[in-house]
Amino acid sequence: MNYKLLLDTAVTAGELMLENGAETYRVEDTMHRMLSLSRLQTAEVFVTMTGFVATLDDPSIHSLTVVRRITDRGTNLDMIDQLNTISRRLCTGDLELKEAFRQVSELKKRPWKPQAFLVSTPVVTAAFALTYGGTLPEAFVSALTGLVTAACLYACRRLRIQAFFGTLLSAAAASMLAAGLFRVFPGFGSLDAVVIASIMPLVPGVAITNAVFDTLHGDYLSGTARMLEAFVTAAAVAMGIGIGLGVS
Amino acid sequence: MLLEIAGSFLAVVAFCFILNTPRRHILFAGLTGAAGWALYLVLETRDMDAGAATFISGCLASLCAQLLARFLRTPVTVFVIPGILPLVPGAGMYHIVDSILRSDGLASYYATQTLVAAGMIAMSIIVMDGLFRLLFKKKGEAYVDCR
Repeated sequence: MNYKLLLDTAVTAGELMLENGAETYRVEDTMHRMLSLSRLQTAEVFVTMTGFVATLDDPSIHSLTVVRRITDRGTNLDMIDQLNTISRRLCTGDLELKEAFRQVSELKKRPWKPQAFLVSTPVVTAAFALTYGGTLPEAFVSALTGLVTAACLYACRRLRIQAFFGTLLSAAAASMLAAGLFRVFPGFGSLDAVVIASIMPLVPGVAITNAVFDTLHGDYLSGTARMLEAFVTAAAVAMGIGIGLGVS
Repeated sequence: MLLEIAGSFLAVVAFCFILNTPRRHILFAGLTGAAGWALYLVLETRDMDAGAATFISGCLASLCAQLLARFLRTPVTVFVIPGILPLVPGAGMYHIVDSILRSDGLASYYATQTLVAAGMIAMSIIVMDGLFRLLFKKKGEAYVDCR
C-alpha cells in the first residue's frame, strides 16, 4: 500500500471537513478510520478546531507526520456529506485508494459559488420576518435589508476582513437601513420583526450545534472553542445592531 | 399561525441553500425546522414558559433530525442545524440591545431569556442524541455513519 498517498488522502479530507464546518470529532474519526486502513503500528490523529496533526509510523517505514493549520472556516454541508460517503466507501473497500484521492482532490478544487448565497439571503430574511409574526410589508423591507446583509458579508469575505468585523458591519448596515426606512416611511409596521429577521442569517446557529456535538462526544477543547465562537459572533451581531440603531 | 409556519419552512429551506445542504435533503430539513417552530407556536399560545417551549420543540426538531439522518445515511448535523434554526434566539439578542439603547432596565431580563433559550436548544440536542446513542448502540460504535 502507498502510505504517502493514504496520508495525503486523509489529510486533504480532514482539511476540507474542518474548513467546511464539520464537527471536530467527526474529522478525527474519519481521518483515524482512513489511516487505520494502513494496518501500521501507529496511526494517530489529533484534531482541534484550528488545525491537526496526523502521523503514520511502523518499524518497517520512515515515520510520516503532517501538520495542517486551518484559518478559514465556513459551512458547506454538501462537502461534509460527500466526504463522509467517500470515507465510508474507502473503509468498506468499495473504493480504491487512488480513486478516493482523485475524488477528494476534485472536491478541493471546487470553487465557492456566491450566487446561491446572494439570492437566498433575502428570501431567508423575508421568510423569517413572517416566521416571527411580521406582516407582508415588513417581510418586503426585510428582503431589502437581507440583500444589504448578503452584499456586505460577501464584500467582507472578498476583502478578507475578519469574521468578527464582517458580522458586525453586516448587522450594522442592515439595522441602519431598516431604521432609516421606518423613519422615512413610518406607516410600514414595526421595526422589531424586520431587525430580528435581518440578523437571522448572522446568528451562530451552526456554532451552537457544533459546540454541543463536540462537547457531547468528549472533545471538550473544541466544544469550548466553539462555544466561545458562538458568544463572540453573538456579541458582534449585538454590537452591530447597537451601532446601526444608535446612529440612525 | 399558518403564515408563520409557512414562513419558517421557507426560511429554513432558503437557509439550506446558504449552508449548501445536499439538494436531496433540503425538503426534509425544511420540514424538520417547520415542525419544531409549529410546536413552539402551539406551546406559546398555551402560555408555556419560553424556555420550556424551546426545549420541547427543540426535542421534536432533533428527534426528526436523528431519525432522518439514520434513514437517509447522512451526518446528523445536516438536519440538526436547519432544524433548530427558527428557535435560535435572534429576537433575544435584538431585545437586549434595544433595551440598552432605551435604558429601560430590562436588559438583564432579556439576557437571561436569551441564555436560557440557547441552553435549552443545547439541552434538547444532547437529550435526543444521548437517547439515540443508547438505543442504537453497536459494537465499536463510530460517530461517522459507517453502515
